[in-house]
Amino acid sequence: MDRNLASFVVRRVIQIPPLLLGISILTFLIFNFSPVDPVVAYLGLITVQKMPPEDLAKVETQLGLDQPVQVRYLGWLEKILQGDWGFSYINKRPVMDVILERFPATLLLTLTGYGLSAILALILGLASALRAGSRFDASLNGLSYLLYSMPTFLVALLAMLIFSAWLGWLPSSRMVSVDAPESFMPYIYDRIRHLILPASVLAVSHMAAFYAYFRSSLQESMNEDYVLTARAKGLTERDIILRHALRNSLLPFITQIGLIIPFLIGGSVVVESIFAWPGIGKLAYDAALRADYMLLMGLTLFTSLLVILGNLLADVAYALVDPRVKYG
Amino acid sequence: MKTKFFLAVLVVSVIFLASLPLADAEQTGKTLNIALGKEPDDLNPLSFSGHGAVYDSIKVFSGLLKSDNNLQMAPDLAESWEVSSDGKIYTFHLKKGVKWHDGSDFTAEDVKFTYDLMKSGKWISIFPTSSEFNAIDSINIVDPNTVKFTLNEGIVSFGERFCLAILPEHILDGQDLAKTNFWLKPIGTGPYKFDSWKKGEELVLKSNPDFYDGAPKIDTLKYVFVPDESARINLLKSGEVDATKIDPRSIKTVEGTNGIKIYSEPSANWFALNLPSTMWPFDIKEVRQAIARAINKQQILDTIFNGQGEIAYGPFRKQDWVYNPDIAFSYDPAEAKSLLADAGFKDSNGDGVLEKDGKNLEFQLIYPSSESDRKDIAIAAKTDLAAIGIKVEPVGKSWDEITQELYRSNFITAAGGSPFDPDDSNYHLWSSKSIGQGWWNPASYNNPEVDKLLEDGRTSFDKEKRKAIYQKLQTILADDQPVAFIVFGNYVYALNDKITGVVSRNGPHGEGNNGGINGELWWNVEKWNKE
Amino acid sequence: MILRNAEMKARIMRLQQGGLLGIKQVTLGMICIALLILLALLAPYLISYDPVQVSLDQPMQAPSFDHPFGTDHLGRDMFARVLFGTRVSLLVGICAAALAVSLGVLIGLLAGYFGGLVDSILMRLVDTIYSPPETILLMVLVTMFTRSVWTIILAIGLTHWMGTARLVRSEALSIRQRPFVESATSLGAGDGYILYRHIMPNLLYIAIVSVTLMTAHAILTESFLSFLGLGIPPHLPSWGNMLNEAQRDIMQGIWWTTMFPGLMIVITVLSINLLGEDLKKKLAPSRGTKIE
Repeated sequence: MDRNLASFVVRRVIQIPPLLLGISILTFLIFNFSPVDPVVAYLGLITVQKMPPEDLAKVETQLGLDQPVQVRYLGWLEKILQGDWGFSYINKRPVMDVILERFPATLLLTLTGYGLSAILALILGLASALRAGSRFDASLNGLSYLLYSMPTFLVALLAMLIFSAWLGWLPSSRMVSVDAPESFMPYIYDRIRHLILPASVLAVSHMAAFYAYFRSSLQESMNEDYVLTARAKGLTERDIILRHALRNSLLPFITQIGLIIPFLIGGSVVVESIFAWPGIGKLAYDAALRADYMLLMGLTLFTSLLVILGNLLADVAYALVDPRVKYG
Repeated sequence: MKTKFFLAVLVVSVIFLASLPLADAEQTGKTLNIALGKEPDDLNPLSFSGHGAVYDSIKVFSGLLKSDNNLQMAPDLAESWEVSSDGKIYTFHLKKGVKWHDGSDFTAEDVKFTYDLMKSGKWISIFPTSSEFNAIDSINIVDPNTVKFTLNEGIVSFGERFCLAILPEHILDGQDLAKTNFWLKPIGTGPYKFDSWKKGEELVLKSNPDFYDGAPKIDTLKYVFVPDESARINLLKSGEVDATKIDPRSIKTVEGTNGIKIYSEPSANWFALNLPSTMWPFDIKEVRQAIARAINKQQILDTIFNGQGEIAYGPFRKQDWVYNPDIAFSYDPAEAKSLLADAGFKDSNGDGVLEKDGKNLEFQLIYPSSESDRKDIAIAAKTDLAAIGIKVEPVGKSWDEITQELYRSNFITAAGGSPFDPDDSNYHLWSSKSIGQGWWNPASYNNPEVDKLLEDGRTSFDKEKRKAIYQKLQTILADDQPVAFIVFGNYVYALNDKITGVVSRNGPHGEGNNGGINGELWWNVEKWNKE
Repeated sequence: MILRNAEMKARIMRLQQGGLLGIKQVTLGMICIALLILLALLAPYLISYDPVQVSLDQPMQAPSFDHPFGTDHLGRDMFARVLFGTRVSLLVGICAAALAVSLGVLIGLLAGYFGGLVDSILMRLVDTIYSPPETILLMVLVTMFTRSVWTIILAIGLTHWMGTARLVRSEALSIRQRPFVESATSLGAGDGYILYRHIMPNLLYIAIVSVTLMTAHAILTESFLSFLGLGIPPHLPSWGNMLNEAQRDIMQGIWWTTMFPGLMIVITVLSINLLGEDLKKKLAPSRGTKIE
């Protein structure tokens, strides 16, 4: 591996632990200084209501609530590092188990959704550039603005209404049918059918930003000097766009994709709730509604961790691809 | 040109492929799929807040007795029983040859174990309603098939408590009930065995072939958790689920659809405005009476409940045997106004809100934010009460917040009610002994005459006498209005019309329009069949 | 279909100046926004019904002369509710955006101008808060505090300042290194003076564009929070709330409880976005800096 690249990676990796520490402190502080009773956070409200005071006092000592903040923080941190992320009172299971169980569903949805989004943006952006200035370009531009201004839940509701309720083409909730087929191919087909609507909603909702960026980036490339040269050489517009401008715009486009990593991991609370998709977003929503603080804290830590890792990977990938990147 | 064409082909083929009909799943035996809006946290038969949880266990469990088509007690694990004339001694004769789902024998030890657990109050955090079993003085195993319960006092309604789900002693004895996995993978003696639970998605139960009452005809019971009502209705219409509970206002969405039948089940679930008599302005009787007369109950019934239900003047519905028909009074805002005027309320500053002693007649009306019907009642109440000069501000709070603040600011849109013995739930709701105990007596009602009536009602065995007592209770409550009763709401279900064996009963207060996993219309699901 | 170069350039120029309908996009956007603000301010005088008042005898009425936008499931006048929803949404949007941008400018300025340790610490802070995904952070904040209009503004504001901070920081850094700043310092100008006279004016355009685009984003965020029941308290009219309650209606063919609030959200956000985009182009023609 290239010396520069190696040192770049090392430098970035070194930055991670302090960041994680910072996040853990932030998470702990938010929950500590919020108007929330930690005993309630640990046991859940209904249980606390029913417990006799002596038992409550025991829990308080057990949680170390009589000790100063720093001590409590360190105790909590120690548990986290050992893998004990707390107990989710609404799921009646350890937080870690719950999160790990639901995360793949979110990943499936967001990777598909944002992947579709990027592809769509690429295709449409290219089409727009090829027809720059035409009605097609203008209407596509307008449509993209419109979609960008629509809240995702509205797009979701409309999609559900049209494709599920009225046309009956696609299912409107869950990941699989209630009586899911046993054999392999029909099962995969069933899963795909259930994935299409929520993923498309994500894709269409978020395509606008990609599309606009890609389109303007293509247009900028078109004004570069090498394009002028190419034109002088006699290449058609189409060739220029497809061979030169595209390649040069692709790189910055990939950086844009790096920006959506938090969305990939946080999932979409809205889409998951509306389509009853059992992922992290819906988990966070349920936790918020019913004030399951342990779960929320766990989710914050977990998602932050992944985002940081994801960013690291994206940076490395970008550095690998583009030798011009300054490693500073 | 090419790109456009390519795109179009892609889109069309995807949609076309997606709309192809699905190959049928292989079925071994019949399946019943029920869509619920709320997933239970676990399958602990007693962690449910709904009072009906005791009567209609989750189908994995069974109790000594169960409730039948007419809400009367019928044999379940006990094949017969005797009650002493003073109501203090219950002797149960257990069925022979009953097995737990793991193959072990069901014995009298299990019965004693379960009731001892409840009575000890040790696990009150796990079993919030176990305090009701304090009335048991002792449990004796007379012989391997006979268990004798001795109560502290002869409470008529206690007989119904014996529907309690029996827990396996050979598994739970000695375990830390707060940490055990058992509640997520229960073993019981009920008609259905626990099969699997994909949290957040579905819970599957399979029929128990050795069930002592005959194996259920429907092999697989699948509960699917979908919070959004429209999504549940879609699943029903597409045939993916066979049953779901719906908001009464959604009847129009479903009726007329081929293959779907609507059941509007009467329920004992009343909705009321809780008016705690310990706090101003509800310590003034005229204020409570005025509020009761100023709310337009008929309109609320028609619009918010789509006409499904009946107006409530007290905690008993027309079909209940103790119902007192003389307590009804009409919607009368004029009288409400004069009541308030008589109590000394005047609008001296012309702002539309009445005052007395310098205090405005206003309060915050709390509703649980997850219950849309109660929210709508609160909003409607605001308008109705504004018309007589009371300022109301509806405030939505989560159940957890409400529980926390239970006695600090208890002006809530309450709901409750039980179709079982009139003593059930009513004793706890109106007796001054229950003040401060969790969800009981939220109005902090303290009326010695009522206390006496409740005590008499629960300890007398003469039906006529009891009827008179409870009718008197209704008269006093209607006059005093510790809560302003509004309506009884029906429970509405939409079912696949190929289902048979459904029996509609007066349902107890439960999980609202989301539908709970026990009780509900599927209280006798083990007797259902599907063509 | 591929045009010759000169024609294409001409079309692009026309597009940038003229837009879909031949009207300048900014003008359309500005008109809409002005109208919305006017409606919001004049709302109490324009309605004939109380937006919170219930008429249980007139539920779900189709739009008519009396009720131009129809009534909802409790008989409340949709026109009044939608109008009052404008107030709530604009209030939340503008305040949250103002909070986010002010915070962002402050922190970015401090980091960019003073550099060194201050910069390091502040940027670590930015990175830290940037790590949890926005929706998760919002869920956490919304759970912590009892819901009201102000806590929503706070929650949205506190989760959106980071982008502005980074932008402002890099601007401040580059300006600080410019010759005229160096000469001012050598002439004895204090930090405050330099900040005030040289750096701030250059940041103004960032602030303006940020606030505009952020307002649109804040309105979308508030609407989805309210839709989920985690935002504005349900009985107050907010477009998100109305859409939440309207979910049941659409299956019964009642379109007006969904269409009007939905349309309002889209129109409002669209106009603000159009305005923002055009401000971006006008105020910073040669810059490639991406403003969020």
